[in-house]
Amino acid sequence: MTQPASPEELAIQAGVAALLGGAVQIAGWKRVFGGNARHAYAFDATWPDGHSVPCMMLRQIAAKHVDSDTAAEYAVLRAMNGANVRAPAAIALDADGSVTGAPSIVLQRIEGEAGAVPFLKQPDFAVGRALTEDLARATADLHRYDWKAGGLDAGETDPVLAQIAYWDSNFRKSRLEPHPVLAWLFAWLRRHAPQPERLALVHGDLRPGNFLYQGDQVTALLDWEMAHVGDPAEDVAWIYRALWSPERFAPIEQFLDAHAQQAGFAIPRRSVTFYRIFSEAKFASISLAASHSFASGGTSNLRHIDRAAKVPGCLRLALAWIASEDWGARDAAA
Amino acid sequence: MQRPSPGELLKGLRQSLAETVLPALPRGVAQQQLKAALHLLGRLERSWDLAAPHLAADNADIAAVLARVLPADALEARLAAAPPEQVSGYNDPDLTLAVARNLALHHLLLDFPDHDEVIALHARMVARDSRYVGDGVGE
Repeated sequence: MTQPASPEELAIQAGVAALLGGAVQIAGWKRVFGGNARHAYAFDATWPDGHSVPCMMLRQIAAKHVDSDTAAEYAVLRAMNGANVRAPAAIALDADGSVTGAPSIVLQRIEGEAGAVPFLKQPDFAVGRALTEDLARATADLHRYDWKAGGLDAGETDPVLAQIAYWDSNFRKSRLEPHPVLAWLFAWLRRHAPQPERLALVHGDLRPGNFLYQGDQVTALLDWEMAHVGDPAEDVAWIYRALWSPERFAPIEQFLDAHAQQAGFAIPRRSVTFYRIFSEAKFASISLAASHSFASGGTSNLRHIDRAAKVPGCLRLALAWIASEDWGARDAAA
Repeated sequence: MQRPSPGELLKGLRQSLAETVLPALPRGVAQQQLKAALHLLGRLERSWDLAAPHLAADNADIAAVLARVLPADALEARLAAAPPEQVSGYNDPDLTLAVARNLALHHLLLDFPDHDEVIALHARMVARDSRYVGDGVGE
């Protein structure tokens, strides 16, 4: 049964209608899961000419542990509108919240389930494997997207080093103690980052929970807040982080094969190993930001109170991968 | 007075909340908060008395490495010259001192990131920390 909309939600609906041009009819308004920092609302928008679009509004309602920019996320999605990337079409942006009350984006609503646990615990192995291989193809479609033609910018600095610097800075802002091993690890990453054979648009947070699927097909990649131009190996390494890895359905080599077949280029295995190390440093940085957020009163979510305890596990994996190969210095490896 | 021990109290608290409160909560924020609290209580139950030996081992290992990295007799002088560390959340004065020394040693390690002995030390520190937070990893 549909719950009657609260006065706040009625105000948001009015704001959305204004954002979409004023004469739009909003129907089927429903709050759906949107994560810790954003509320999500599903609805159908119908314009005066009769055309109707299933929509999803993402509305930021709390500070995030990691800085992200709604306008930047919208710009990436807008650039990909009509491209062969499984991403929802970007429809409207309220960057500063002046229309809808909080920074918001309106996107095309795509059917599918996003749950990480149902995917990872998929009882039908064949479905899990097919879905993982399709995720590889969806990831490859993203990585072969022509981001320059889409008007996206790699930034003025080295995009690989920029990512390392970003998460290092996030760590230094968040830490409640020195963490000398993590500080050393970020310096190691700077010294050993491979020169990517090609730059691609990287999702930045691609993992179970951040894509929609139906049956054995990925219908859309979601949550583009961390998207940036970088090394495509970064996404593959993040997808295969142990906490949410689809390894039991398809070993990473199988994923890389499916990716290469679809993308038309192969990601060097060594780059993937490097980004597995990077992923552990990044996850440690995010964990310390979450822990800091709880300690400083930024959140009361108890999932974050003890997130700093995740750091030793990240460092243990990173050190093991570093020890697994001989790593030349960055310039030498180019 | 030894019983119930802190570990027994934490275990009893966790079990009672899990058996009597958790089933009474509807799905939602309150249930998620309780689940996170139960997870943390379990970790504290496994680790509440490990801080002192953990700190003693970490401090001894780091001090031994820094004593070899630094000029003779320089370690204690460097530590004495460092700004005092802010420590909170501990009751025992000796433990508080051990935590402050640990933080000071960790700060000092930041000055020698690429020394071979310090890099070798990293693996031992991470293994100790992993055991301390209860992820069950041996050194």
